[in-house]
Amino acid sequence: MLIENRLLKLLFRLFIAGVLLFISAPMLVIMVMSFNEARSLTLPVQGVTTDWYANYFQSSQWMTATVTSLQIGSLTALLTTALATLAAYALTRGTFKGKDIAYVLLITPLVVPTMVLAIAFYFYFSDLGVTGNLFTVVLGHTVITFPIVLVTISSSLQGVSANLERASMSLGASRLTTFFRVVFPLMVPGMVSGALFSFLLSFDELLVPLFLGGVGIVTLPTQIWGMLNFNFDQTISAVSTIIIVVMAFLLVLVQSLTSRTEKKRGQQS
Amino acid sequence: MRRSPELWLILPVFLFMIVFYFYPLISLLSLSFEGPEGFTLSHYATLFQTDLYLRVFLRSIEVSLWVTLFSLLIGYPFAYYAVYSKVKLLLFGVVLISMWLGIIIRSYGWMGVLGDGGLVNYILGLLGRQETSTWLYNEQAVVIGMVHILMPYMILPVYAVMRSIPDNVLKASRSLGASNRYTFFKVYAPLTLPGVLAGSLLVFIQSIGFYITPALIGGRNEVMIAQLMEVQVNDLLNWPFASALATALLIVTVVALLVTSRVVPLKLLWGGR
Repeated sequence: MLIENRLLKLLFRLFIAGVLLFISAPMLVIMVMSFNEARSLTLPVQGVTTDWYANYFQSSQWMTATVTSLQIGSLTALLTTALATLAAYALTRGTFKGKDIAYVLLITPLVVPTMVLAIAFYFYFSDLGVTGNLFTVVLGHTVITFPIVLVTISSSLQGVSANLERASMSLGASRLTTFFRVVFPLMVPGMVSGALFSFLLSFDELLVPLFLGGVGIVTLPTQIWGMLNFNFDQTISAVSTIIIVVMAFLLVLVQSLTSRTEKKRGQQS
Repeated sequence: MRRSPELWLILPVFLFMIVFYFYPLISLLSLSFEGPEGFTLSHYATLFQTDLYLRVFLRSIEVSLWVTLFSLLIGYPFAYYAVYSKVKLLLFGVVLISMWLGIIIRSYGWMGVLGDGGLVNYILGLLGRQETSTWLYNEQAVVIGMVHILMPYMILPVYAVMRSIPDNVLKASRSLGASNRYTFFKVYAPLTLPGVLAGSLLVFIQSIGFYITPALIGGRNEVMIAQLMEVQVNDLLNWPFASALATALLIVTVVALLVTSRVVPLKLLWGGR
C-alpha cells in the first residue's frame, strides 16, 4: 500500500470500519427489530419476542407470497439459464457476421431502467389480455436477468480452452459428443452461478409483479411493498432477517463454487 | 467471416428477445408519438413546457450525480483497501450479502436507521439529545439509501482494475525517486480511471431510473422520474405521456453510455468481472 505514515494508516482503517458499519447498519437494525415486541420501528427494544416469526409462518398470505416468489424465481432461473447458455456458447465459440452487435443487443436490458421495462411489459401483455398470471412475470424477469447470466456463463466459457474441444474432436469424437462430454461439464459451474444470480434478482424484483401480477399474483416483494404502504408491522423484519440468513448461506455456496472453477482453470494451464 | 453452425443456437434466443423484449420496448417508445390524430410531438411538448416535469427530471439527474459521487468517494478507498487487505473475504462478504439482499429490504432497513424511533435518534438520545426528529423523507435520506444500494457496482469494477495493476509499476515509480503521494496521484490513480468510469456509469444509469428507494424514504417534494411514470400509468392512465417520460429517461441513459464509451471500452462494464 502506498501509505506508510502510521497515523494515516490508522485513519484509513477507521474509515474502512466506518464503511463496513454503514453497509451493515440497516441489516443489523432489521435483525434487532425482528425480535422487538413493538409493532413499529422503535429502538430501544421494548421486549424480546419471536411472535413476528410465528406470524410469518402461520399467515397463509405470507406463505403464498413466499411460494409464489420461489416459483417465479426458479422458473426464471431455468428459462434464463437455458437461453443464456445457448447464446453464450454461440457467441464465444461461433464465427458469424454481426457477432459483436448480437452480444451488445442481447445485453441492452441491463441499461434499460426496470420501471421502463415493467411498463413496456404491462402495456404489451394487457394488449394481449394476459396479465395477472405467473408466466408473464417469469417472462419479464427472464428478460431483465438475461444479461447478467449471459455475462456469467460467457466468462466461464472463455476460461475453457477451445483446444480441449479440438483435442476431443481430433481423437474422433463428434461435435455433439464433444459438447456434451467435454464442454458442457466445464460450463456447469458458470451455469449454476448464473442461475443463482437470476433467481436472486427475480426474487427481489418488485416492479414487474406489481404491474403484471394484478390482484392474483402476490410475491414477497409486492407483499412487503403493500405492507410498507398500508398496514405496517414487524413481520417484514422477521421475513427480511430470514432472507438475510439465507443470502449469507447462498453466498458461501457461490464462493465455494467459483473457487472450485478457478482451481479447475488452474489445472488446465 | 464464415458462418459456423453455432449461428443456429442463437436464433431461438433472438426470437425470444424480439417477442418479449424488443417488440414491447419499441411499442412503448412509439406510443409516445401517438395522439388522437396520428403522429404528434405534443407529449414531449408537455414534458418540456411543464415546470413540474422539468424539475423532476433535473432533480433525478442531480440526485444520480450525488449518488455517483458519494459511491466513488466511499467505494474507491474501500476497493483500494480491499486489494491489500488480509480480510478480503470478510470485506466482500459484507458487500455481497448487502448487494444480493435486494432493494426493498435495504430501503426498509434505512427506515429503521433514520426513522423516528430509529438507530440515529436512539444514539442521539443516548448522547443526551431530548427531542427526536425524523431523518427520512428528504433528499439526503434518498441519497444515503441509494449510495448504500448502488455502491457495490462501483466497488466491483474499481477493484477489478486495481487488482490488475502490477506492483512493479509502483516499484518503478518509487525507485525513480517519486514520493508515495506522487506515485499514487500521477501513476496509480490514472491507471484506475477505466474502472472509475465504468463504475460511475453503472451507478449513474441505475440511479436515474430508481423507484423503490425514493418512493419509500423520499419526501413528497423530491419525486424522481420513475415515480412520475408510475403515477401516469396507474393513477392518471395517461399512457402516451408515460411513454414520453420513458423515452426521455432512456435517452439520458444512452447519452451517459455514449459519453462514457468514448473514454472506456464498454466491454469493461460487463466483461470486467
